[in-house]
Amino acid sequence: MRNHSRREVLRLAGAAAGAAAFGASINTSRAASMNVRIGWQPTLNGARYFVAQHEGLFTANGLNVEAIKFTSGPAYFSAFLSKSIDVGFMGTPPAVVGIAQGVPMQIFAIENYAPGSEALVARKGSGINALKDMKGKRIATKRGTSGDYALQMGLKKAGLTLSDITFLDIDVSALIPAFTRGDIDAGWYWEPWQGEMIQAGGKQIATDGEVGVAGGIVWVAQTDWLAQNGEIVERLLKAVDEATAVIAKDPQKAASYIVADMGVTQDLALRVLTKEATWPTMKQTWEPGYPLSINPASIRSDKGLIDALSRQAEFQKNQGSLKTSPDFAKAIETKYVAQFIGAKA
Amino acid sequence: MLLLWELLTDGTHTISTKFLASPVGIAEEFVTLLRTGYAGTPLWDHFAASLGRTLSGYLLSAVVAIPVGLWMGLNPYVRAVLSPLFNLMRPVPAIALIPVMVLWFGIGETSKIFVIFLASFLYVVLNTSSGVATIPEGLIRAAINLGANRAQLFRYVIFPAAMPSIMTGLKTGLAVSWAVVVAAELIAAQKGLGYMIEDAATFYRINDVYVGVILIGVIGLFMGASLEAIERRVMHWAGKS
Repeated sequence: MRNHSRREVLRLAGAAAGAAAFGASINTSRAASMNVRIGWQPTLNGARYFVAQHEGLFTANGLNVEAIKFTSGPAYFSAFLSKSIDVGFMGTPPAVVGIAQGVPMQIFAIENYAPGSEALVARKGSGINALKDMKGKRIATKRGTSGDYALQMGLKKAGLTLSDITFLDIDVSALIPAFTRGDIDAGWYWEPWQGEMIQAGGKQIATDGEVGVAGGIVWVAQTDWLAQNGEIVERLLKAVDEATAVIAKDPQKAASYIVADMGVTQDLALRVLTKEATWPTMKQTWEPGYPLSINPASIRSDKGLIDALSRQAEFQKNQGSLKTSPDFAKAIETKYVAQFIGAKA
Repeated sequence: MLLLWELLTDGTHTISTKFLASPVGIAEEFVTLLRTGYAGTPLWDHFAASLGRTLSGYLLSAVVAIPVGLWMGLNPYVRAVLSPLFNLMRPVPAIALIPVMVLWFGIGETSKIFVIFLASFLYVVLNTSSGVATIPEGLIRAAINLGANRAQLFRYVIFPAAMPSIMTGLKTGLAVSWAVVVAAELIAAQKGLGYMIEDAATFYRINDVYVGVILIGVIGLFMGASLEAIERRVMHWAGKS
């Protein structure tokens, strides 16, 4: 009689355990299937995205990513307007333009701070060895990009104005042929184009950081989607944060992922990852002293990210490209990073 | 239709002006551009730059393509060599050629005019060639029987008979030239309507994009109509028996 009831108990226990395990597996598989449409672009500064993809960090954190490629920041604007993508990353200049022009997008995290990954590179034989040597020369950049802003700041620092140079508005597709032919004397561009110009015999004259231009890549999301999908955002932040550790601990491996995705050299990828730019953890971006800080206290006192954005907007407004310099505080959503690091602590 | 468009956007806000600019918004922006120019350059200069490149590339293509096309039409061996080559080149989009164009021709006007030249050339030459190749044998035999020599045959039979095809090629070539100028101006242009459109898109100045697109459409229409008027004068016999 006792054996019989013990077997019964065991069988019931076994059934209960089985049911619990089955229920748990349903929960996990439901959790593993959260879909997100990420817009990506081939910039070395978005390194953590590529690392996360290759290391399977998105899947490991329960995200099913549909990856959509864009050629540059401005290309995202229509996608956000038509809700064709949920989230993406872009440089601070296009982020400024999009927000100022009323595109429904908000910044919710910092990807990197890149003071050295963009610079003025001069052609061999151009006679340019310092910023002041730009006078009377043909200098190229792409209007509206961080390079454009940096060039203007560089001119200011050297006591020059736009009328002292021949300003050439050149897209990256035409840059390297023009550089090698000698049609331009120098160019102010971001990676990998800075590296390509150097490879073509150019010399680095000054970086963004050296002319006081704080820039980097930011994570942006469609405004409505961002408000409604906190769980997905948290998982995204976790995946990206985990990628930071990979870059820090094994930069060679991280560089190899970028080489695979963008066809640049291992040397260039490694230089960007270790010297030219820094990838902060989510916690670091919360520090008030961080150059692109998203701490609400920094936002309130016009420091960090909001300062970088406002300066860019003022510059574009003075150029006549933007009509307004908006209040960026409304465009920065800090609650998800707050929640994320709160949970970690 | 304009009224309905205006009502839907500015009037009732049924369609947000973020998706579809309103006619009044576009008109206002056009006036602003006329007054202050775009990116520090007067609107007229942008227009003149685009028109100049287009006409240069187009006229050059006509001058080269018609003789080459006639030669291809008259000589089956030349046609056998060149025709597949040109057909291979035609579908290649101008945008794909940008780095090569800059490498060969630099960032000045040459690279842009060449892209337009190439696009138009391929249409004019192939139309001219087929125009000659499809002349009815009967016409040629009749002329030879009447004692025409090679020069007379060409001047009085072949060239006029091929004219309709040549004109088709020229009309298509002009349309293609004007359409390609936008792509050509992606090659390090500093001004032009195509440049304006691409630059405005970077800054999400949608009204400026619309103005540029509409201007390109209107000017293209005008150029096409002008060419048709010329065609009617030159080929007064077309359509009559």
